[in-house]
Order: sequence, then structure tokens, then C-alpha cells
Amino acid sequence: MPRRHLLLAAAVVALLALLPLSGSTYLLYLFTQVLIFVLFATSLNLLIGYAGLVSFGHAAFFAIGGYGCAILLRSYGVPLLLAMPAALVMTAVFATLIGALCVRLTSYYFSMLTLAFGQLVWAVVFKWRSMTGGDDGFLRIVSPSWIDTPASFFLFTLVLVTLAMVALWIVAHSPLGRTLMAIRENQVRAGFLGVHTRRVQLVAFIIAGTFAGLAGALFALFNRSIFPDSAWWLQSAEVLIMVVLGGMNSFFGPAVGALTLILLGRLTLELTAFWPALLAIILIATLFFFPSGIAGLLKARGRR
Amino acid sequence: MLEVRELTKSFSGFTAVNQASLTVAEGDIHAVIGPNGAGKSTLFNLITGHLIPDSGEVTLKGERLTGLAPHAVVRRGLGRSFQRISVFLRMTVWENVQIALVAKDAREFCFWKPLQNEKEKIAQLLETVRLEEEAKVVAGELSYGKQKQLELALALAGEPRVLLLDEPTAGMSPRETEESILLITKIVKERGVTLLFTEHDMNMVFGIANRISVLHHGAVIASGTPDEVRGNHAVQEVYLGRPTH
Repeated sequence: MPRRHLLLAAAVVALLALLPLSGSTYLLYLFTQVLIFVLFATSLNLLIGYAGLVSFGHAAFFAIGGYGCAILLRSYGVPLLLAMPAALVMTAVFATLIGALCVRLTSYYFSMLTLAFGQLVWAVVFKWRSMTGGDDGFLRIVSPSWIDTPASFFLFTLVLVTLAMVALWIVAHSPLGRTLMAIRENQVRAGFLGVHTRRVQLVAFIIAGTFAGLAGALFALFNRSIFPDSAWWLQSAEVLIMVVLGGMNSFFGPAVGALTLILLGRLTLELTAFWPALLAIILIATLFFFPSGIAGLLKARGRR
Repeated sequence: MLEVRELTKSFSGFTAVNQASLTVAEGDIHAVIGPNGAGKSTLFNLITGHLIPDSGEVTLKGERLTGLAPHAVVRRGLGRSFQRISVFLRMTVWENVQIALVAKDAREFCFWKPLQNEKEKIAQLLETVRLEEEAKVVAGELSYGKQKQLELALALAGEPRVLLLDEPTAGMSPRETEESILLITKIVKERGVTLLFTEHDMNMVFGIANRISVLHHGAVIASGTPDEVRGNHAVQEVYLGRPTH
């Protein structure tokens, strides 16, 4: 089963690599955005699906990665190939500090604490005008010329997101990934097998945060600007919805969720002004009728 | 080997374990018995670090265990099973043992390599506890007795020097009880593991233990060979009631 998924994923990447041939700027923009959110949602699912840790503040790391990369690039003139890794290191450091406190708590308390830290990051970004531009946003981010066109930036994103997804796949199927699932199932038992449960959860938190940071950095470059909204709890909620809609019990579920949500959002915005209401209905239907998400639905189909 | 010194634990005024001491020598099969509510499970939870004692200490080969987190206690060579079954219910039997081996080899932080499928090691453990037929069954779908066997496999996977089994036959039918007694005795002797266990079934206790400690109201009132304990007046009073005349 997983091997079939990998083949399918490889085929999708190959097809996407041909997208610039279409010559459609609209499609290139659309799928650049989809790719960024595929990575963002998959990183969150390492926490939700594998570790059973429901984070309400994942956007904090998206924003830290985005602002970190943008500020280094524009304010300090650091070249992109240095600014991006540096932003990821910065995200990892913040994820370590925040995560070390969050994994001390479980269930609702963990969720509430991640929400609080998310809002704290938002507040700092909002208030620190001299560094971040505050609510005016951080604008005029200039990418180097080699990724300056829609096609080249799309390919740049495709390469990085593919590499990141491969890395996340390896993590999810490593001893750490399996240990996370065991802790989710029975934390006490895992501890009595000799697992340092909190530290394992912290490592997962750092990995998830860092990949969200990469998605954030790409997002800032893509929009050539970044706003405090990117750290706001609604951003965390949006990516959480992608995970739930796509299916958290499957590695590629959140990717499907990201694609579906963005495409549906685009389609309905052109047809109606009631997108938020439609989204609410879709979410309610998902939770009631197919709680394993779209991926779960496809899996059930396949078995029949 | 395992030394328990004057452990005390109170829960909001109720003293569950009171100055309990016992010594388990290497190779011993040591039973802790006592009426319901005598504090057997609490004593086990104190020894394994699941609960923190108010006072007293536990040492393993001279190394202090008290105050260590469960994972650190396990790393020092102590394995345990739970009275109420504690396995990974939504994983298969195979995956349960696999995760136990990952923990044993301290590979839980390894995120850059795929999970190894240690067929021989897992198969051997499953064979030891006689679950080789059920490898692909989800643990939650096993019968109660088989879940207990899986529980034992998880405790053994860590290759403990001292194994603590909390009521290994609780809830079993007489036949299952007898089978698991035979199985446990065999495993302990083959692997040279030191065993400390609690048990309500007196046939099992006097059948396999070479040392017995009796717990009553949280205190150890007797400790010795089965014959010594059987002949002890205090123990007879606890189990048979005080003579009325």
C-alpha cells in the first residue's frame, strides 16, 4: 500500500515538473501556493496524526521562517542560499524553546499552550514595527533573478517541497515515527519500555516546526511580502482544517486536504461570496461522515 | 540485587505503603502476597518509578532507582508488566514487540533511517510467549489471556535483569492460570531473570516462589521461604482471621 502511494507521489511530482510548459501564469501561481501548503499541512500532521499532539499554534513557525528569511534577505542583504538555511535554524531554535515547554503538558493543555505561544509570536511580529513593519507587513522582498519568474519560482518550490516531503516521509517511517505512534497510543507503557517520551515528542515538535518554517520562507518569497496574519491563530486553524479534511491517519492525507481546500476556495470565490459558510459545512460533513478525511474515504474505496 | 528500604507512600492521609522493606537476591523468584488493598500494586508502582515515595529508597545492584523517571529505571535493567493490561491496542502484536525492541536499543530518536524489521528477534520473543500465530493480529482484538502474554513479551523485550509482574494471572481461568504459571517459570529459569511478582492465587505462589513477602496494611509483616511464611503466626492471623477463643 505505501509503496503504491510513493509511486503515485513520484508521478505527481513528474507531472508538476511539466506544468511550466502550459505557459499559464495562473496555474503556476496556484500550484506554487498548493505546494507550500502541502508542506505546511504535512509538517503539522507529524504532530497531529503521528504523535497525537494537536497544535493550535503551528503558524508561529510558519511566520518565524517567513519573517526570518525575509528580514535576513532584505534588511541585512544576506544572499538567499544563506538566508533560507539560517531562517530554518532560527525556526528550529524557537521550536526547541517553545516545544520544550509545550510537551510537558498533554491533551488540551498542550493545545492551549501552543495557541498561547502562537499568539505571542503574532504579538511580537505585530508590535516590533522597526524590524517587521508591524501590521503594514514586511514588503518588497526581492528574490534573486534565477527564481524571479513564475515558472522558475514554481520549479524552485517544487524541488524544495519534494525534498522536504521525502525527509518527512523518512521521519514518519523511522523508529522515531513508530515511537511517536506508540506514545500516542499509551504513553505510560512507552515510558516503561524505556522510551524518554517527552524528549521524543520534543524532537518531533522541532522537526515539524522547522519544516513549517521552510513553508513560511517559501510563502514570503512567493508573495514578496509577509504579514502578521501569517502567525495569527486563524492561519493555524486553516492548516489544521487541511489536515482534518485530508485525513490525519495517512501520510499524504494532509497534502490532499491542502490541495482540496485551496482549489475549493478558488472555485467558490469566483462563484459565490459564501466560501466561509461552505467551508464550515464541508468541515462538519467531514467530521460526521468521514472522520478519516478524504484519504480515509479513498482507502475505503480501494478496499471494496 | 534489588533492595527496597522503608518505602512509605500516603494518599491524602491514607498510608498505602508503610515502611515496607524487602530484599530480592539474584535468581530469586520472590512473591509479594497480601489481602486486597494491602498495597501490593502501590509498592510495585513505587519500585518502578511510576509513583514517587514519601520516604525510603529502592536500589538495584547498589544503584539508586528512587527519583528516576520510568524510562531511566527501565534502562537500568528493570522490566515490568501491568495488572491492568497495558499494550498498544491499535497496533499489531508484531508492531508491539517491534516498538519494544526500538526502545530497548535506544533507537527511538533515530529519525533518519527506516524502521528495521528484525524478523528473527521479534519471532523469537513471540515464540517465547507463544504468540507466533497471532503476529499480525491487532492487539486490541486478542483474547484477554493472549494480551497478558503480549504484556509479558513487552516486559521481556528490554532484557531486564529484574522482572516485576503485577498479578500476571489476574482475570484468567484456572486453566489459563496454570499454563501461564508454567510459561513464566520456564522463561524465568531459561533467561536467568530475577522475578518479583504479586499474585492472589496461593497455589501459584507456593508452587513457584522461593521467597515470599506478606504485605498487610501497607507493611511487610513477614518475609522468608514458603515454609517459614506458612508457619508464621502473624500471616495465619491475616489470612485465617484471629482465633475467637
